Amino acid sequence: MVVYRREGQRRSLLLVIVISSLLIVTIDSRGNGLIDSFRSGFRDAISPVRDVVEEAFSPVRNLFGGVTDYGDLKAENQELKRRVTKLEGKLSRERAVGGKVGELETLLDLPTAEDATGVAARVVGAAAGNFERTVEINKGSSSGVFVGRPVVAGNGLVGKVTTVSATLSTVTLIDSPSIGIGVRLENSNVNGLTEAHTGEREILLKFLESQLGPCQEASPLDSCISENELVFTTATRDGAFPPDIAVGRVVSVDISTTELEPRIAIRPVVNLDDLTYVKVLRWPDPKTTKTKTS
Amino acid sequence: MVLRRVRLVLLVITLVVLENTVFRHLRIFDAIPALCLIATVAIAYEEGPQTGALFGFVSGLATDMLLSATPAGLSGLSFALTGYLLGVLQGGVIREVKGISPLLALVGGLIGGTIFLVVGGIIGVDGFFTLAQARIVIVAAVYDAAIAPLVFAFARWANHDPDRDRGWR
Repeated sequence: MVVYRREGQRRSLLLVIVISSLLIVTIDSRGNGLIDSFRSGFRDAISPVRDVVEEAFSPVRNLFGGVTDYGDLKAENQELKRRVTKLEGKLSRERAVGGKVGELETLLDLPTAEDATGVAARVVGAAAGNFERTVEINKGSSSGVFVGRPVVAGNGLVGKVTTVSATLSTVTLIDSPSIGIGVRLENSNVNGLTEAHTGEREILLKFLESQLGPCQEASPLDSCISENELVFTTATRDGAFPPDIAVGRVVSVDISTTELEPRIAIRPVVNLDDLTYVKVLRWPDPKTTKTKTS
Repeated sequence: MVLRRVRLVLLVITLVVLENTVFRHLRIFDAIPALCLIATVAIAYEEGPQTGALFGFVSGLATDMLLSATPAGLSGLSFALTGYLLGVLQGGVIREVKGISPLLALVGGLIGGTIFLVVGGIIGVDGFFTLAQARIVIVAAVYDAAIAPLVFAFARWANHDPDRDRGWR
């Protein structure tokens, strides 16, 4: 008799928990301010602890990274040296036309990434769990960070601010399925849209109009896609991202007989798994907007 | 009793912070361990299904507070169900064996991860029914198993109640 009663109690508790969970899931899915406030409050409350742990762990992290990535670092170093030599040549060629482009941009009043000022922030955490591609930064609305602002790190695009509390913000990374970025290819300038899939680090590129195939030996670079080709954000009116920020590098172009278009995979130029400092861009820059409207 | 509850709260906060900071740099095949899920398994193994489910619900909700792409309550539900199931298994099937924590964490990780994906997929979270996700659940469960002895020891300390005079297995 006692056993049956205990069994009944257990099941009732489980039922209460299941119903409560489903209720919370339903309420949050429909967007509820109360749960958002709880989230922000909880994040703000544990933020100082996270800062301390993150700071304390950094020497161990560097050591771990140094030991485990030694081989990769060596190869990367060689690759970077080769790329620096190549880029130095390219830079000197482009310097000749760079001034003219700048003049034209000024004449046409086109906003660029350089126009956008920003807020530097430190990454203090990532999403708990395995099924979400976000990071937390230590700047929030009190520092002028707002939802929708693009986030960059040194050499490329990181993501977009999706939630903000007073002292923290969540940045959804560019390899999250919820983000699609308008991009252009480096050589051909053909426009496309990125398409990320949960659990996959490589992002797929879908063309908007023209279809390009992989480069063959004799084909001109502006009529095909080559591996290692850079992909930049494209310039669009009221775009979510400033133009010409490097998004990724083409890592594979596969032609399948069953698909109409080739499968183009790009890898983000920024290592999204090891972010320390980022910059939240004020985009569209209020100054630029003001100048344009006046 | 009060001290035990304080320690359990401390356990949840510490694990959530560690998962959120330290382990984000220690990804293995893109997966990190679900520390609160392992703690839920440990509590369920010690205390049975009722406490396991309750602890799982609370620790899952704490985890949910740091997620933004999935609705709050999803981890709470999957951790609670895992705690309940592991607690029932402990009472009916599993005998007290030393060094069983990795096996329990592996099973718990697989159950918890699967419930999370299935329920998440049903309620419409994008991209949950994919092979890549299934792979992550498996890798994360193996990772859970690898660090289970440490988390079990921490959970043992937090759950210890001298008044009850019960030993941890």
